[in-house]
Amino acid sequence: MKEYLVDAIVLKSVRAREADRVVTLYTRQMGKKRAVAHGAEKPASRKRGAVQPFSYSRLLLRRGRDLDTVSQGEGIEIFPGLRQSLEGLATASYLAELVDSFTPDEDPNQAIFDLLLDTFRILGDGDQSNAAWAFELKLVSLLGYRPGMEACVLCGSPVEGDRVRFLPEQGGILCSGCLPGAGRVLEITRGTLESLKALARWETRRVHRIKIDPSSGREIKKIIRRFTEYHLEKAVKSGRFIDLVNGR
Amino acid sequence: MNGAGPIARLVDQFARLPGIGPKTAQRLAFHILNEPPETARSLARALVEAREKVRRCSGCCDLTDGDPCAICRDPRRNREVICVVEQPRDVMAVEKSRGFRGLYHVLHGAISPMSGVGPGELTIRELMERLAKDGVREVILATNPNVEGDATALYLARLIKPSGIRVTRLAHGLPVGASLEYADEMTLSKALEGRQDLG
Repeated sequence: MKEYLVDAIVLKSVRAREADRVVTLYTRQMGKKRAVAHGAEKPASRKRGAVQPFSYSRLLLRRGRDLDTVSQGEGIEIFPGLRQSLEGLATASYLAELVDSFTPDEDPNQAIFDLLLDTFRILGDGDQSNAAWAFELKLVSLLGYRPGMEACVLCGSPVEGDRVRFLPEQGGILCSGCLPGAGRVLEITRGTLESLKALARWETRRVHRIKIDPSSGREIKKIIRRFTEYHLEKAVKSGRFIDLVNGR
Repeated sequence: MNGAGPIARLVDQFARLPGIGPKTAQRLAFHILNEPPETARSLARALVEAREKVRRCSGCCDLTDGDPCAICRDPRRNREVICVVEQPRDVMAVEKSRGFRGLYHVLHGAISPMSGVGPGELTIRELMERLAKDGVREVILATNPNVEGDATALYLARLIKPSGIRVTRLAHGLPVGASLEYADEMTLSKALEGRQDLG
């Protein structure tokens, strides 16, 4: 079959040649997939709307020799809240870049697709930090890197005290016995740890209700960013812009 | 053909230009060689002259051969309105519409977080310096209606608003001569949002 339908969230769109765009999609049916949208820059293009970044569209793809091409497209959801605010766009860029960097090509994962869709639906005006943090924690968990936050990740014994040591390289918290020689740990409060657990566990549409004070917020940001960048083995480019927009 | 001779060098140089592959580069090179020597000389002169004389205008950052550029120098232009665009070719596009008599500011790009292009890479600092001293009353954000252009416009609006200057954005909607049937959903919803009173 030469043509097939996918439900896709557009992660990225890069201009190629005069009027074409190479789009990176995260599809429900086949995971991450790149495709060419010929003529998508032209004013009369009918698929232009459907291949805009951060839109959820149903696309008819046609198999090509190298990249498949988008032959028709129809927007399903365009997430107006996300598009009309600077925080929304900055956060969406960050999340899309994470999914693009973390996932391999054509490896379907329905849970990641749903997580991205649910998170895009709640992005809008105001502080988007909770949504972004919860997304990151859930994404790494779905990919098999869930941070260990219940007990010491090395010996399994309970971790006590008001201050908790988190080591991104070991994937979670450490007890005081395992601490010596463990490497560069991040010290956080017990409250921050509880917030992290809640962010990882709560449903996406409710995470904005988790109350996080600014100092905990700074600790959470540091831990999640270091954890993510350790596993990605590179910096997330959109991170710089999101920090600028949020004034951090 | 000699791989390092003047013909090969010429072909190589043409092949570096955007949209020109090895075959087209060869065709261009042999075309130049078939023409009288004056054609090559005037092409070379035009290239060198353009590259050496064209620079950024100290006012609007557009590309120009004289500083300030012709638009910034023109006394008939309205100095209270600045139209902010992404690229020098966007200035030409707006000029062709003949609907705008103010000044321009060229950003030389748009914010693109995923490609690592932040506000620091654009001429935003120059724009803010102009706004601080030039008595501007309105800034029209004419960045492209895509994600990068929207992010740039929202960022600029946040930066400029506190100074009390009016900030506007170009309308989104249906192109002239289009039909509703072929409009995409996003454009149509933007057009509905921005509808205007008639009569």
